[in-house]
Amino acid sequence: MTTPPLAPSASEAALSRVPRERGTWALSRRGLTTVVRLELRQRVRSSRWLLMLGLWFVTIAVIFGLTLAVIGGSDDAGAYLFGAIAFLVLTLGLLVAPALSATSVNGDRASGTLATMQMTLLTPSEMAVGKLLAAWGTALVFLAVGSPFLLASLALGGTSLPRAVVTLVMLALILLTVCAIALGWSALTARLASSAVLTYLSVAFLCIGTLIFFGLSVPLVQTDDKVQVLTTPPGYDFSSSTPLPRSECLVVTELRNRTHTEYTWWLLAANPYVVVADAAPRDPGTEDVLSVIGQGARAARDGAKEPVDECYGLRRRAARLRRVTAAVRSGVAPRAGGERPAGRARADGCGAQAADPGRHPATRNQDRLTTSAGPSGVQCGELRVGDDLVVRVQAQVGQHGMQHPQRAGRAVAPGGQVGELPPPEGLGDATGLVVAQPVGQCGGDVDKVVRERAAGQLDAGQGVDDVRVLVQPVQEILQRLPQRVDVGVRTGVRLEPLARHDVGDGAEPRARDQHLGHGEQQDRQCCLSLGTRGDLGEGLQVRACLTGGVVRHRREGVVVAWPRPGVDLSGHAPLLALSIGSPE
Amino acid sequence: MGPDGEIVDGDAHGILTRRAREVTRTAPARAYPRDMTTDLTIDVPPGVPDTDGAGAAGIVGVGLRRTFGPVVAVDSMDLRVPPGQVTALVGPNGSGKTTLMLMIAGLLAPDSGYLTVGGASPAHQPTAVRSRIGWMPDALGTWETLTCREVLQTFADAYLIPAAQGRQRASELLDTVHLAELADQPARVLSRGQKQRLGLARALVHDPQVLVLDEPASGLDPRSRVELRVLLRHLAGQGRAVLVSSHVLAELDDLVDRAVFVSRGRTVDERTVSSMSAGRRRWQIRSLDAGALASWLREAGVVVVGETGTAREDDVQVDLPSPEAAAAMLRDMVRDGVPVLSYAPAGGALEQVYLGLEESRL
Repeated sequence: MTTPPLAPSASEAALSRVPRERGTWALSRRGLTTVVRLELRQRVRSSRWLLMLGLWFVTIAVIFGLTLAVIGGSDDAGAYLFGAIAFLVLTLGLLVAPALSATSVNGDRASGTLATMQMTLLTPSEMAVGKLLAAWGTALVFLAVGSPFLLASLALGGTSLPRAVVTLVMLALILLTVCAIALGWSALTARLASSAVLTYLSVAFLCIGTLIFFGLSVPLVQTDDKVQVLTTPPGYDFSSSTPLPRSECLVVTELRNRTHTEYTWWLLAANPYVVVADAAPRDPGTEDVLSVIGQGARAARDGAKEPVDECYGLRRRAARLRRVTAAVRSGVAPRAGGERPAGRARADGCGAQAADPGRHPATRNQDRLTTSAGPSGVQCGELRVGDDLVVRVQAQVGQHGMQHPQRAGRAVAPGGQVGELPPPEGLGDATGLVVAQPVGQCGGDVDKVVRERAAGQLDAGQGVDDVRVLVQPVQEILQRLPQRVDVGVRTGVRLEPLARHDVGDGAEPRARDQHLGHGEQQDRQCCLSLGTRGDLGEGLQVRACLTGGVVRHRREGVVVAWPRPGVDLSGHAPLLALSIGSPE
Repeated sequence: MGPDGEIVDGDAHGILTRRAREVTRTAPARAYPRDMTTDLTIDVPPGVPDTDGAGAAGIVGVGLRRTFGPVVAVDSMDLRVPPGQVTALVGPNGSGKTTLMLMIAGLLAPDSGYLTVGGASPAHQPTAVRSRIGWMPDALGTWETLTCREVLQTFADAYLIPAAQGRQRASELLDTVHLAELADQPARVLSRGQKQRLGLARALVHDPQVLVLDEPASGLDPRSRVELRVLLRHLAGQGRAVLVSSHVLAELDDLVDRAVFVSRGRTVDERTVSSMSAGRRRWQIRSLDAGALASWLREAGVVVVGETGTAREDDVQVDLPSPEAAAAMLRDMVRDGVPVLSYAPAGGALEQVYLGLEESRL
């Protein structure tokens, strides 16, 4: 018998109407719903499912509770907790997701239901995608059960909403990927155990294998290169506070062993943890586990940089310098040098503000000035610099009339005006800062109130003793702040640098610090120095800079400006100016 | 079957279209929306007249071959499963029956050969074939947690039958296979026989023109077997083509019209049951007086066949060329006073043919 050709020959006879050929890749809504509904029905009706959900919930709850107990006290507990819970949910999800679909296809084959479904009009892609969607939906239920804990840590603060949303979305996508890998293995292997093992191996490879390969690849990308190194010029005085311009750094060429992770970082890019951590926008200042992972991956991608910067010392890069000048004029009563008014009242309202270093909604990379007036008419200002620093300027009001009769005969600034130093980054509002009131006066012919009292709050016996500048970090930070704050004052004003922090460390307060402390301990560890260079343009000026250590760990840098005795502060030159910039 | 490979017979085409029209009339209209459907173009193997309609509405296989690596599962198989008839696929274990059925179902592609199911090629028009074939595999498999009704409705959905129609169809089928009482029980509580019936109902969900049943009777109690037989005859009576494979040859005798015998991957014989009954077969005679019977047979020159042990001691088996010869011999024995107690064909016709083929093969 001859073998007829395989290709069918068409006959004209039409028997009846039949469904149109659908092909392998056709996807219909009806077909997908059928498969998804079938899969979900089977899952929901098994008791194993509820048990798994319960275990999942309990596990996360226990770890959430433990973590909260450990780090709950700190102000950044919310951010740390969010990172930890996201990490945990991802880890558990990577364990659970394979179980949801690792036997999806070969399980059906083993139970004899796959072939009968293949015989229906469902296309292969409808069955595959339907199974994937069902498995993903199940995984999302797990994510949903875990999300109350994420929301709880979000509610504790410290985590921005975009970060939370992106993290959740990325978690969902990772789960989808793992479900897809599991589905693929279940279609490729006949035995249920094989597909489960292969899936877990795949996940383990992505999570641990990529790290191992990255680590093993390090010797391969280590090279001895001739690199340019920026070094500190010899003879540089590290105790000096004068900035070390980059141009003064020495450039030397050295042979260095460098690890070029920029060639191998992509190994990390396949890691689910890195994917989630890197995708989520980083909140400044947070050091939770996900942020650390993300930063690590970024650092690996940057790899070896050239030139190597080893030029240590104070730096100020002109480009990054934000010169925000808050100028305070006048309103400061002249006194005898070194003397401190005993009766001191903080300007109401300002004090309350200064005492709250809490989180104000930060506008990223934007300096923001807010001013407020206390009930006594003394104005104070708050300057938010970037995301990290708050600079507060307060006026201190003293009862001069009663306690410092010796001031009589001194010249009093006619003030009442707040000016600004040079535009454009000065105060937006000329009435911005401080004191609109000349002070005054006892026994007095000369020290009469020169102008009328602003808003009438300050009594004749009161005067603004000094102007304080407080520099505070917005959040508790463990690292050195990039900014430094220069406080410049005009001639005739004395600067009194001080720093304090909330928790005393047993340092002996020095006599001249006591007035500032409000009972707090003083700390002299801050790097603060007085120089003679200034920017204010009126001859010799005094400058204090607060850098680095000043603003660590919720410490505050404080500078007090005092008028020198016998100095007439009248005139229009600003009294005080702030410059905030990077030390580099 | 015409091996010549020529299309000369104008009549063949006429028969085909006439058959097709009949089938269209008898088979219920399918429920697919108009825009989802297309006209089926029927394939017929060139040169083979489709006299029985198998090309248009049944199964035609010519020279099918399928290997799994070095193992030749199906070497060269031919079969025709015409509509309106029940065809048996008979063969020993490992003869390639299941492989052939998988090829018919479109789950395996033949390496070579020609195959149409319901007028469509499983390889080139899988959707058309799937919409027209009801397949019941020998391996029982169902979703344990779903109820019988849900199983059937799911399949109706999978065949893209409109939901309301699918629900109605599920209820009808549950009545047909006597599972209405268990309709809302999960499938895991079903016994093996009940699962088998559910599997049959599942194969009928989309009202297929061609039914392929692999061992449908296994696990069924006697009553269910009778009902299965009635149901399959009824379905065939509606003009459907039914292909049944079974090892239990005796029960096929009453069920099938035709049988295809396969062995070692080849079709060894293909004939109708009536032709089997008409041919040479073995008869079994029992007499009150075994001695008288034996001497009569000796005198008449009839050779007693069958080894001792294959039948009961007082039974005697003889080979007779035709039913007419058997009737004449019975008449003669009665005339000669042999006290005949029973006189019947030994085993079923299929069994006889099957065993005969086995012997000739050895």
